[in-house]
Amino acid sequence: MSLTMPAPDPQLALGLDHPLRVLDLDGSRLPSDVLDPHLTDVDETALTNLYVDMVRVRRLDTEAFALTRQGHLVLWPPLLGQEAAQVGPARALRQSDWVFGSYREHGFALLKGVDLAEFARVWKAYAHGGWDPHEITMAPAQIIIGAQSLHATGFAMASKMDESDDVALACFGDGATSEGDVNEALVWASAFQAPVVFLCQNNQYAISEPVRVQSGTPLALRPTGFGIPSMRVDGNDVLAMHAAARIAFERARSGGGPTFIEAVTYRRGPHTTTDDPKRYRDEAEVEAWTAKDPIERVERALAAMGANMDAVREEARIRADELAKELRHAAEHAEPPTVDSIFDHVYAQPTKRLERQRAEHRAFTASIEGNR
Amino acid sequence: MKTFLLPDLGEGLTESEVVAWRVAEGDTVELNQPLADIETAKAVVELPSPYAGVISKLHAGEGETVAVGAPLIEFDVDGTGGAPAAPADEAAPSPEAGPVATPEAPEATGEQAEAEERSAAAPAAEEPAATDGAEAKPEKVQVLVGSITVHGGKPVRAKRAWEVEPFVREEKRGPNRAMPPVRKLAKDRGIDLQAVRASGADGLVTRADVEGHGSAPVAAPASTREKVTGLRKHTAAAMTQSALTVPHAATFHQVDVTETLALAKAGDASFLALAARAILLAAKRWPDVTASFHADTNELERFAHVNLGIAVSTDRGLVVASIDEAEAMDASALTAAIKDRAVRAREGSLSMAELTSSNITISNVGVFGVDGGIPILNPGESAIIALGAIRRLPWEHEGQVVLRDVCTVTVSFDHRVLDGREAAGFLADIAAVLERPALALAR
Repeated sequence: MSLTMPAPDPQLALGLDHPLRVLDLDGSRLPSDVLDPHLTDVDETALTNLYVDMVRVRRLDTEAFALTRQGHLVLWPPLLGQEAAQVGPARALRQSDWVFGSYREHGFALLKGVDLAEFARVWKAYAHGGWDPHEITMAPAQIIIGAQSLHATGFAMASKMDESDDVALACFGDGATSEGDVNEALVWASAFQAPVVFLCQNNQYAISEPVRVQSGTPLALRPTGFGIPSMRVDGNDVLAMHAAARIAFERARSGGGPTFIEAVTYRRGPHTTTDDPKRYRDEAEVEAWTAKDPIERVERALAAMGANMDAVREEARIRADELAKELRHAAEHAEPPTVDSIFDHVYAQPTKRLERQRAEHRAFTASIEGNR
Repeated sequence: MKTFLLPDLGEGLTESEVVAWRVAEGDTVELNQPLADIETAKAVVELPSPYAGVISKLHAGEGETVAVGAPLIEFDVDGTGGAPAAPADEAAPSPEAGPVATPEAPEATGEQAEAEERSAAAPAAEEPAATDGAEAKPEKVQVLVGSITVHGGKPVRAKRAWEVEPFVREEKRGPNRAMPPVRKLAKDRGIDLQAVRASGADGLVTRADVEGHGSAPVAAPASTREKVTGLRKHTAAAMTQSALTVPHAATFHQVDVTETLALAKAGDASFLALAARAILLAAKRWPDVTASFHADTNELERFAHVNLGIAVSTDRGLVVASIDEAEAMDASALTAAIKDRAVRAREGSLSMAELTSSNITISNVGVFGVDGGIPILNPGESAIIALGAIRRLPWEHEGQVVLRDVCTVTVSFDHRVLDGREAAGFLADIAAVLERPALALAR
C-alpha cells in the first residue's frame, strides 16, 4: 500500500484568476465554456423573471432596513449588492431541496416562499425561528457563524442514506470559512460524498475584517484541499451564479458529491443596522462596487436583447411595492409572543418536567400584581 | 396627526443625537424619505420617514439629544393640517419629552462593554490618579463600533445583573437515593427508602443506614438550616444595606398619651392614626425628616408630599406599605388607609409602588408589648418612628402622681440628614401633640 497521497489538484478550482462571468458590466453576453451549456434554456423571459426576483429581494431588504430605523423591527442585516448571488442559486433549486442559511439569506427566504408575517416576527425579536422549516424547506436563520454548514452536510448525508436526490445548500459568508464548523463540514461532505453545495457569498468583510486579512489565497482554493471541486464566480452576475448553481446541484443530485461556490460580491450596506461601515472602509470602494450593481447589469442585458424595459421596470416596481406594503403591514401588526410560549418549542412533545415548569411559571406570573 | 417617537436605533440604546435635519416643518414627505441624520452611540444613521404626509413639528433642534421613546416628529398624515391633540407648550418643554442633557455616564450596552474591555487594556494610567484637586471628568472615546465613556482611565459601564444581585443557586433536596444493592436490601426488608436517614454524600442512603434503620431512635439534629428566600431574604438585604451604609442615631421620649387615647376611644380614629397625624404635623415643621440622602451624588432629595410608610408584620416577613400624600388625610381617612394597607400586606396584594414609595415610616412595635428599641431605617428614608406599648404608669399630672397612659416614642434617624437638634425637635413636636391633642388645632 502506498503512503503517498495525491496533492490537491488546482484544476479542481475554476475561475481562480478571473471569476466566472457571462454578463459583462455593460450587459453584453460573454462566452463561457463552463457555464454556457447550462444556460441554453435561459431566454429573455427567464432573465426577466430573474430581474423581477432581484428587484423584489432588494425591495424587501430596503423596506426592512427602513422599518428597523422606524422602530418596527429591531435588527436587520442588509444584503444590498448581494441580490444576484442569492437569486441565481435560489432559482436553480427544486422546492424539495433544503437551504441552510446564515442570517443574511433574505433572498432565499423570499423565493422559498416564506410567509412575510412569520418572517417579520423573526426580525422583530418576536420569534426564535419564525417560519416552519419543513413548510418552505429552509432552516431558520442561523446566527452562529458557519454552524449551518454542518446542518446542511448532515441533511445531505441523510438524503444520501435515504437514497433521495434532494440536495442541501449551505450558505455562509467569507468570515465563516475561518470557522471550524465550515472546515468540519467540508471534511464530512468530502468523506461521505454528501449531496451538499457550499455557497460562500464573499462580500469582502467579516463585519469590519476585510477578507484579505483572513486568507492569503482565494477562498475558492480552500475546498480543493479537502478534495472538493470549487468555482469562483462573479457574484454580481445572476446568470453566472444561476449556471454555477445548476452545475453544483446536478453534480450533487447525480452522486458526484459536494461542490463549493465562491460568489465574489460586496455588501454595500452596513453589517447590520447597528454597524457603521464608514469606520472601516472607504466610500470610494463602495462606489466602485455600486458601479457593478447586479440589477442594473441585467437591465442593460435585457435592453440589449430588445426587451421593453419600461414595461419590465413597471412590472417589477408594482410587485416590489406590493411586497413592501405586505412586509410593512406584517411588521407593524405583529403580535408579541406570550411569555408562556417559551415552553412551546423546547421539545416536539412536552415532557412532564417541562409541563411542571410551565405550571410553576404560570403560578409565578399570576402572583405578580397586575396579572391576577 | 401622528407623533413619531424616537426608536432604539441600535441595540439597547437610551438616547440619540439629531445631527442634521433634512426636512423642515411644513415640508411634504414621502414614506421612507430620509428625514434626518441621527447619531447613536454606535453610528450616524439616516432616519427614513415612517409616514407620508406633512411635517407639522420637529421636537428637537440639530445637536440636541433625544431620549428613546420621546416624541421626535409630528406628522399631518390626513392632510387636514389640524393641530396636535395636545398643543405643546413651546416655551416649556416637558421634562419627559424634551431634549435631555448629555448624561455624564451613559449606560454601556453589551457590545460596548466588550469594546470597553478591549480598551481597558490600552496603555492608559492604571488608576485614576488624583490630579491636583481637579476632578477628572468622564469622556467619550470613539472605538471601532460606536463610542464608550471612559473615566479615570477605565471604561464606565452599567452594572451587570449579577453584580446588582448575586446569583444564588437554591438547592432542593430531592428524594433519597441509593445504589441498586442497597435498594434491594431495603426492598427485601420492607423498608421505605424515603424513611431512612441518609448519611452518605448528597443524601445517598448507605447499606449501614438501611441496616441501622429502626434499630435505634434517630436523635434530633442539633441544628437545622433552612434556605432564606422571598421577602425574608429581601428584608435581610435591605436591613443590612441600611445598617451598614447609614449612620443611625436615635432619640426617645416617654409621652403621656392619656388624652389621645381617650380621643381614640371616643371617635372613629385609631390611636395609630392619631399618632400618625401628630407625626405628619411635626413633619410639616421639620420637612427634612422625609428627605432622602443620595451618597453616590452627595445630594439631598426633598419630596413635595409625605408618603407615610406603615411597617406591617406578615407571615412572610416585614413589609412597609406606603400611604401616599398622607399629609392631606384626616384621622379617619388615615385609620381606613392603615387598615387597608395592613390587610393587603397580609394578603400580599400590595403593588410595587405601594411597597416602595414611602419616605418616612411608622413601626408600631407596641403591639408586641415592648416599649421600644432602635429601629433600622427603611432604605432611602431619613426617619423611622417606633411607637411603644401604652402602659398605665404612675405619672406626674397637674401636681399629683396619678396613673396615666404612657407610651415611649423612638425616632431613629439618618445622621447625615438630620442632627440631634432636628430629630429631638421633631420628636418633641410629636410628643406635644400626643400629650395635648388640642394643640393640633394650632398646627
